[in-house]
Amino acid sequence: MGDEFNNQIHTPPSLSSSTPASALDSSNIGFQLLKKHGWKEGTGLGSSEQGRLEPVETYVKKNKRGLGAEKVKKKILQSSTMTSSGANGKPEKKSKKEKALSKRMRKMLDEEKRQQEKELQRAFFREFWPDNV
Amino acid sequence: MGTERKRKVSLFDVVDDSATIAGKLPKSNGGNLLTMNNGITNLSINRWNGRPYSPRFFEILEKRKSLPVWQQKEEFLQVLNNNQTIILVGETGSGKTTQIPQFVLEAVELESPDKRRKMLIGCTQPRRVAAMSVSRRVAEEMDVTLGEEVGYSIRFEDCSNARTVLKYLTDGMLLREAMTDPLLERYKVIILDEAHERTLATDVLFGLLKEVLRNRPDLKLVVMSATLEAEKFQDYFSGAPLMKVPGRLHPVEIFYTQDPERDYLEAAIRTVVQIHMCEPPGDILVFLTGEEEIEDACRKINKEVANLGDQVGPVKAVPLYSTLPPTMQQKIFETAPPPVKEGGPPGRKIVVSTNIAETSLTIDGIVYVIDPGFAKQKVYNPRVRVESLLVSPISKASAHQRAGRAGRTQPGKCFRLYTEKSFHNDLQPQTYPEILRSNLANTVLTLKKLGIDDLVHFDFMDPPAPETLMRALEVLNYLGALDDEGNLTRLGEIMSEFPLDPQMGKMLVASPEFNCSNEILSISAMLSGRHQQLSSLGSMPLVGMYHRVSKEAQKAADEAKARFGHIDGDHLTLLNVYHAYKQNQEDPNWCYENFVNQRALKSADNVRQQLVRIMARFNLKLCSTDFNSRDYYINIRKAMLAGYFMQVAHLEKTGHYLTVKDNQVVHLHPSNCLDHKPEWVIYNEYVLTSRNFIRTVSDIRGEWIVDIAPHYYDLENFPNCEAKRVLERLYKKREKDREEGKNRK
Repeated sequence: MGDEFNNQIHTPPSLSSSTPASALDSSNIGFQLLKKHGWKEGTGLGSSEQGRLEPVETYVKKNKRGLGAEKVKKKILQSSTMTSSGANGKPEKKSKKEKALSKRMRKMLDEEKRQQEKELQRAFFREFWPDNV
Repeated sequence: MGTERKRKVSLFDVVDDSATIAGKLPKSNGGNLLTMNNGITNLSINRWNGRPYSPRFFEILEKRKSLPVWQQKEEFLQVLNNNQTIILVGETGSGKTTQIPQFVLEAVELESPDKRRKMLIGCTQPRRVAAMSVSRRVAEEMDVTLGEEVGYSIRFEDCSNARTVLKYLTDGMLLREAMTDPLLERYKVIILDEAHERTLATDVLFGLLKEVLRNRPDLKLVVMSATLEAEKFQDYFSGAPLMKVPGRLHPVEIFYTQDPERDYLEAAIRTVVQIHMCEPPGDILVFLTGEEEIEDACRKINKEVANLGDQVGPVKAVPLYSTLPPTMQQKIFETAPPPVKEGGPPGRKIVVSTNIAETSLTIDGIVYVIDPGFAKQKVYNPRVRVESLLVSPISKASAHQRAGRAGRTQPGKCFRLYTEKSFHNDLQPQTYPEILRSNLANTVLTLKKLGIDDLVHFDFMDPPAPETLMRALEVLNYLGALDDEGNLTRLGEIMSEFPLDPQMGKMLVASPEFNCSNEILSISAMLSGRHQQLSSLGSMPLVGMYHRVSKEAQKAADEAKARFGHIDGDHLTLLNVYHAYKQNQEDPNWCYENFVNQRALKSADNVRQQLVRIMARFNLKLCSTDFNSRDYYINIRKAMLAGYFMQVAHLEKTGHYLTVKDNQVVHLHPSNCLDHKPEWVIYNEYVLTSRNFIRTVSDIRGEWIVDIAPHYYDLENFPNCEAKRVLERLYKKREKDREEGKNRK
């Protein structure tokens, strides 16, 4: 199989958080059975053992961000998961502060969003109807 | 019958002749059946059923002839004649799905050489709906009754008979047929349609058919695809000739955004409104990811356009997704609304759809396409054993298909809600074939039943990762379908006969031991019957069994839930609904009053009958525990555990659930009917979203686990966790009880 499927996608934090998803090893009965079927460790499946070695990675999208806007998203997501895990350890006190903080943040984000929207509306004409401008 | 046969032979000859003189008869438009038959047979008699043609037949025939694929009819038949395998590439709308099988019918002799058997032509479809609707259309075109000469076959529903010469069937059904007819000897020609979709079943059929073709030189295979990947098919089928049918596509202008969108849903709605305000008439197709999002978008579009007042024309936003009832799906074919007042701005139809409108469905009148670049796709991670539908970026090939939807009737425009750079950098060339994104337990069971023992070197077009196959083998071994050498057991053979997940198959086979096979049959039928129907309704339980109801009706529906809800689990709630449905003589009014979807229940009832037949075939006893016995529900829950012991979650001291052995944090889906948080639950479905939910859950006991599935809950091979310690105690207790029992004796 070619390189066309090798675009790596990241494992979502939710999947890696509880257990690091490690590869199946020889303690697994399925591993042993596959060997009994003639598979050799380190090789792929298929008529000429050409198959991929690693499973396709999964990725959980948790918001409505557009394609290509994911990098911005990751930063925000990281900080939010950090705070939420912190809140889990020491509840109440911290989260109140955070609520106030996040309120302000949300306001700022909303304003930013509105600005962006306006800008995009203008951009829409520029981009989609270049001849009209 | 005798004369009909003769006619067929002569037709065959004429077609062959005309192929060689096609150049001399340019007007024949690929030589249609009527002109060629001239003077030889009665023009007005349908060769398939011997009845005179209806006027409608000729009406449709004229339309058919204008389809692009008719231009290459002769060429196609010639290539078919000279080759065992053909790859045919044609855009959606070229007419290949409806016409090619009819061309084949005209040209191929269906009688076996010894004239003893009549063979047929099979055309596979990835989707049940397509198999049904296309066969209906083709029956109409051929002027025959559906289910007679032209039929279809989908899981749990066979609408064909001994007279059928052309059968549309899901790829999964053809695979099942291969289990009893390994060389597919009933078939003269097999057409794999929509091969570009690379469904799991189509991929397995590829490998299987390659083998069958070697053993059956008289069998022919036509692989039909809508995309460029056809060259890959050509390589795979050792250089089979490739034929291209031009689609009737007008140029489509593509627009990208300058920056990435912060919110693709908002952006999509905004773009709809902008197009409606600024662009000439033409309908809009918007691609979104799922039911909820689509319904939301439809509401918002209607609202936003209404807010604009009279300056703009009226819009009709129509949703389209696979779980929408067929009558609702038909709405996409309605025309755009007329102007509000005469001479006013024209109206527009806006179809908001999942990727089912990408290739498998043709909607005329679409001029604008909005593509946010996402689709819901199945994913499977063998390391955590979770198969789920997730929103993922589409591929470049998909983006291309989507854009093409805009150019069906006239030159169109496609608005991609991402940057050109994103298109090049963030999208992979092709979507991963389903086989790389699926749990393969069922597939491996099928392959084993087909006698394919060398799974490792099976000729997959894209072989799955070794770990995916390991998981499948592991599951089948724990279920007892494969022995420790990997050979199919008797139990596995029976399980493979059920067109269900191996877990469910195991549950059914085990149910007589727990004296509750009647009830397990009902539960299995309810679980399988609902999937193709309506899907979840927000907070409603019994996903899919209910009508879509307004918010006002939700309260009443909640009361209905209270009526059927069983505190020990959703499986038992499903059973209650089924029983109530039967007790009320399947009365549609009763269904309506109780917010129960009659269609879904009817389908479940049908599924149940089919499953009963399979049970009977293997002498599996139909039995029930006395309803008044304390054990009635307990037995049912135990039988479920016998199938689903690998889908168990344990309530941790922290208050959340961990899936056993995989240790994934999960939450009970809000739709559940439980009145408490049981220590142990089995679940039917793992839903991966912002939180991980387990859906359709039932309460089970730890004691049952150590009794029913000690081989899986083997503590030596168990990650350290709370559940393990609880089980350790249970095992010790069981030992002690046994000792005491012995001593007493």
